[in-house]
Amino acid sequence: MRYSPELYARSLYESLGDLLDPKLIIKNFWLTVKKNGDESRIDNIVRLFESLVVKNSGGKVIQIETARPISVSMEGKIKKLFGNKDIIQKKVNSKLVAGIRIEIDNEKELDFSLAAKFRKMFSKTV
Amino acid sequence: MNYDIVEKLKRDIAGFKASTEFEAVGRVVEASDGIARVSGLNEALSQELILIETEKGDIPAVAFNLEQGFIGSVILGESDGVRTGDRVKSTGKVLSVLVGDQVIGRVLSALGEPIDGKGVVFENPAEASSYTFEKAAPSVLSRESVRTPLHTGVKSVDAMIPIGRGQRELIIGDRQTGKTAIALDTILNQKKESGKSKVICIYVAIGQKSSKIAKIVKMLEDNGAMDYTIVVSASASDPAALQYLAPFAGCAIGEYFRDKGQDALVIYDDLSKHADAYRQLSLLLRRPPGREAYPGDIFYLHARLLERAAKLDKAGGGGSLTALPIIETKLGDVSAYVPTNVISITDGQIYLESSLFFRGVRPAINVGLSVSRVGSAAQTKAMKKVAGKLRLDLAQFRELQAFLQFASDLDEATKQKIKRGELLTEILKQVDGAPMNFERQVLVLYAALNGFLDDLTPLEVKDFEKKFVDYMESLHIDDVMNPIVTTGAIGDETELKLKSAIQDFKNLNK
Repeated sequence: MRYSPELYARSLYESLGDLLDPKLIIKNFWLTVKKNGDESRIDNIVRLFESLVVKNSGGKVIQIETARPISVSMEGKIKKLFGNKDIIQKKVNSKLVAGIRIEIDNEKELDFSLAAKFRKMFSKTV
Repeated sequence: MNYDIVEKLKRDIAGFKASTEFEAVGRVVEASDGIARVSGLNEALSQELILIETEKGDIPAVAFNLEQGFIGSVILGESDGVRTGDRVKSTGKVLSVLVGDQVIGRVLSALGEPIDGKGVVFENPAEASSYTFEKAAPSVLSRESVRTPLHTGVKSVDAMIPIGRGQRELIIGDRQTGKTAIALDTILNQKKESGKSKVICIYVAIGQKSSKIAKIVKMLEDNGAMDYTIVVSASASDPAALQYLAPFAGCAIGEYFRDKGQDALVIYDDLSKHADAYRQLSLLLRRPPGREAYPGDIFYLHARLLERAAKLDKAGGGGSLTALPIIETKLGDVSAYVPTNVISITDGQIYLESSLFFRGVRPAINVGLSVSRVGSAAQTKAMKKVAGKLRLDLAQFRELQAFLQFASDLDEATKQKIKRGELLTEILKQVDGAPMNFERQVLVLYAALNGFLDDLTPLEVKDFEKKFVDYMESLHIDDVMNPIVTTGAIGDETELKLKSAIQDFKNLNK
């Protein structure tokens, strides 16, 4: 049976909560993922694990996608918009053409990208 | 270059206002075999249309399984471009089809898109009505009993298994027994129907060969039947999701005309393949399999589809939707799971038999096993009067058929019954694509059942029929045929004239 990234993330989160040696748990977790041949999914697992940690501490996972890397000053401005418990993940996605897309907890988003505007315009005119 | 279009686009761009709001978003966590499991979209509706943003563009899917934390969705169209991690957005719309009078004469996909190369269906989509694929059937109070006939043009059906507008009559039989032919004859016959409102026909092809569908469309076009017909096609090469949705699209189109107060006929060809497509989807969605691996709600699937066929009362517009579902049996086994389900849902069945087909009895209808539970109320008086004896005569003939090999030892009365049965079997034979008007059927059956054909051999019957109908149409259209059409009955005076006309014809052909 192939385990989903959600299951990996949840089991890691719960194991770390069991007050055992965190270093040993993380090492063994990586060995388990490797043994199951799921190394390629580690990015997704880590992302989900991070979300779990943040959610359980009362924060939100904010993913910010931009067409080009954002400046430090802009990053500071964005951080100010959110609370201390929130975690901000940055991502550069050239397909947005221009603008910004903000995703909250992988469930809701605000899309200010030019690509989204094009898509809306196209679906309205055709 | 088309400057009108450029100007329109310029206007649209100038007036475009994009407001950004919070939108629900999810991600594909698993995708295979036309199924995508999506995380997020916690507020998605059952049967909601969702859009998967892939590198190849947005691919639509339908939310089927709403589980805790996940949505099991069925991808509509090519699923090659869908990858794990793709973003998914909800649309807030449930699956629906755009309908209007413009769909008549078109060949549509299961999603209502034109596939006949004749351009867009609606120049102005605002003119179209949107009908959802899934809709509750009309309530008991808004229905009326079936009382208007829907003539198929097939003598044995119209005489012995009459179908009424709003009825659900199953056509069941093995492969290559003429099921589709009966359905298509019914469509063709609507062109010839006089005196009643025209029936809009919807032919839904499910899981059939594309070549067969093309042949059917060509045949309908050649016969001028596309003027009042819509073809909804989900061929064998289409994904199972589209084969599953096609009957619902056809039904939604039929409901549009029914709700407008018109009469519509929808043919589902065939529901066996529809059940197979649904089984495939259900197994891929990991729903628990039941008998023959069909999911537990396979009965409900067909029941809710066929319940939408109805005759509405005056308050509801008085329209009707008649359904002719087709079921293909394997080796004549009508007791299999899906056939028994659909038999119990429908108001009767036309049972076609391979053995009759190979004996040359075409259409190969087994009149003993075929039944119409509500159609007799809709049968015209003329046909009732003529065909009342037909079932009995044929039943007696079938019983006596076993004695045929001892024909020389039989008494005169039995011999006469056997001969009458042979003649009646011969008169009920009909070729494909040549439906017969109900008034012509009445004339021919009247002559046969009243002994006017008794002096003929079975080989002479077809020739007699053709010449007799031609004779009546050229000499007795006003005094015999028109009164039958207008009143729907054979009055005493008309009957006398008909008798004398038959006698005159026989004298002429001696």
